[in-house]
Amino acid sequence: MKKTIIVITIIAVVAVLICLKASVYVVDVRLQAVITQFGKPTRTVTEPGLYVKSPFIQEVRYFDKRLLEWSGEPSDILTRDKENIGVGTWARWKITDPLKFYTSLGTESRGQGVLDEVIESAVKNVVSAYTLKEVLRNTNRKLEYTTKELEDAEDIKKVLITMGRDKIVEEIRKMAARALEGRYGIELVDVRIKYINYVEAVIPKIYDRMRSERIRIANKYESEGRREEAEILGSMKRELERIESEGYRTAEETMGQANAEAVKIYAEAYEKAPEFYSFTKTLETYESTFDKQTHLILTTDGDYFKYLKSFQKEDKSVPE
Amino acid sequence: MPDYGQYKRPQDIRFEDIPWGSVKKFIPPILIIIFVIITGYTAFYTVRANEEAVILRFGSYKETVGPGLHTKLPYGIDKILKGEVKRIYNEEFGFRTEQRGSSSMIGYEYPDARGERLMLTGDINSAEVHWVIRYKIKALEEYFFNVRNVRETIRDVSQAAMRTLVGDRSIDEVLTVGRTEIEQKSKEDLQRILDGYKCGIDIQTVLLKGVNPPEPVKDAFNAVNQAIQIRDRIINEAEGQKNKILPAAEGKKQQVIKEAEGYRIRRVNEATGDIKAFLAVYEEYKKAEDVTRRRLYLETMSKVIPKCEKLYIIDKDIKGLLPMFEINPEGVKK
Repeated sequence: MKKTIIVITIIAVVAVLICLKASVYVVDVRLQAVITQFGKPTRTVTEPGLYVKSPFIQEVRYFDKRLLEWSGEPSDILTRDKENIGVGTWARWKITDPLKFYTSLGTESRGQGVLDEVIESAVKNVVSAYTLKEVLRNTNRKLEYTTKELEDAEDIKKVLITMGRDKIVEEIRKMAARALEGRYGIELVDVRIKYINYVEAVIPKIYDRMRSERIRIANKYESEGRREEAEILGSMKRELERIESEGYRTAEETMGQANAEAVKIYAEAYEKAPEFYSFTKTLETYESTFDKQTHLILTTDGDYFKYLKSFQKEDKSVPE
Repeated sequence: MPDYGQYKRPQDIRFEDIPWGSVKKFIPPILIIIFVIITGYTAFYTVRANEEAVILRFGSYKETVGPGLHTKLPYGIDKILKGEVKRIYNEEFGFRTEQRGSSSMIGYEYPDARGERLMLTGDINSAEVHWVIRYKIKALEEYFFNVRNVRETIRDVSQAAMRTLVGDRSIDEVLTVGRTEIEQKSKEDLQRILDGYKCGIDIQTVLLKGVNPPEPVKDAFNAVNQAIQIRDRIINEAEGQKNKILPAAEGKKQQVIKEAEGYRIRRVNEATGDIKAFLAVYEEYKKAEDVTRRRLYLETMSKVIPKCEKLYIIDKDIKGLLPMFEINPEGVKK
């Protein structure tokens, strides 16, 4: 009898514990819950804490309350200027109305499925309405280059960005958000473009263009060097001519002046005794011009040999 | 006393035969010990030095505690979420460090590595960008409560932010001149977007590890650098030549000028000397003009006449002198 009581007591305690376990539930701060009765949702719990429900009749379904990730498959899009690009996007979303989410979609993976459709079509629609540059560029800032030539080449294109990536992405987000609005209990918090790339087939062409552009710059640098070299050597030659001719000019001038001064000095002095000068100078020239090839013919008439004929003193022999 | 000496099969043991009296008194203490152990096990926890812990009581946030040994309500009433708040986390883009430490291995080949680093610049060129971001958890509650996959979120945002910046810059800016600015702005953008999500992350740095032109066009980019060096070398050589030749020419010029000046001094001095000599002689000559004149004449003649090969003396009265000489060029010469 006593044993039976013990057994019954144990069974009762276990039963009470099971009932208790089935009638209380905890909602984590990171989660929110939908309470269903025989599969039919009755209410939602979004605040964390310990809650009570009818055991066995009511069930709890939890949904994440945090920001959830979504990552899109890369999609090939033809832009307005007919460039074939691959665009990858990601999004962040939230379940804001768990009841609606539960009734319309039920599970998170189906939520991801809806986002796949909605966002991918929004991306396609929006991106294909713009040129590649509009999607690529974000602002109208001036692109800077290390060479003037490239900068000019970019300037000539006169790219004008009216939207830019951030605004286009916002347009995608709005379009997708409108498609989701009021239907699934989802809030689309953010959509962004992860990457934009050319499709594989076009890439070699891009590389060819980059290559030829750089080779052109390289050639330009080299010919710039040659030009500057010629300029330097040319100016060197000019300087050289100037210096040498200046030297010649100054030297000649100086020597000319020297000669002129000398002439002046001689002239001033000889002026004082012109007869004496011509006499002595003439004698000097005899000395320097006569040599052993000279045949000298003299008459006895001259002063030198006049004594050869007569030793008479002459009155007239004294000059002047 | 029961007989333990004989083996009994389990089905033969009857409930009444178990000596409950002796076992019964041990049951309560054993239960109590088990209870205490379980309670102790679920009521204590440690938080390591570089960690903090968030405590959830019945799912609600209660508090955040620092390192040390702590108590909590047992049996799952309090839940602990630990996070390393002092650790600096790394995220690498375009490459992977496969082995940390002294012999680190950098891997460039893994699924979608190329897609991660290949970017289009604003002038529709391609660049390969490798970068790394370092971040810390700045608010543990936000980190746990607001965003489900924080790490993936950081990676996604960083890629979007980096590509937006690169897409708004020229290839030259991305490769060289704009790198610091890109690092700075991408850090700001990343932080701003993450703060918008309230994910409790503090971005410490964004570092561009390497920005290269894609492999197939690398040589063309190197050719540009080489061309710059060639240009500089050509110019330097020309300058060098100029700097060598011009000073030498200048020196030569000065030499010529100085020599000319020397000539001038010499010429004037000589002239002055000549004149002085001439005038001195003239002074004396004037005193005895006739005699001196004769003497000078005779002195000269005495020097000149011996030098001549032949001397003919002809009387002044002789006419028709010429036939006397042989008209013979050789004779004249000899």
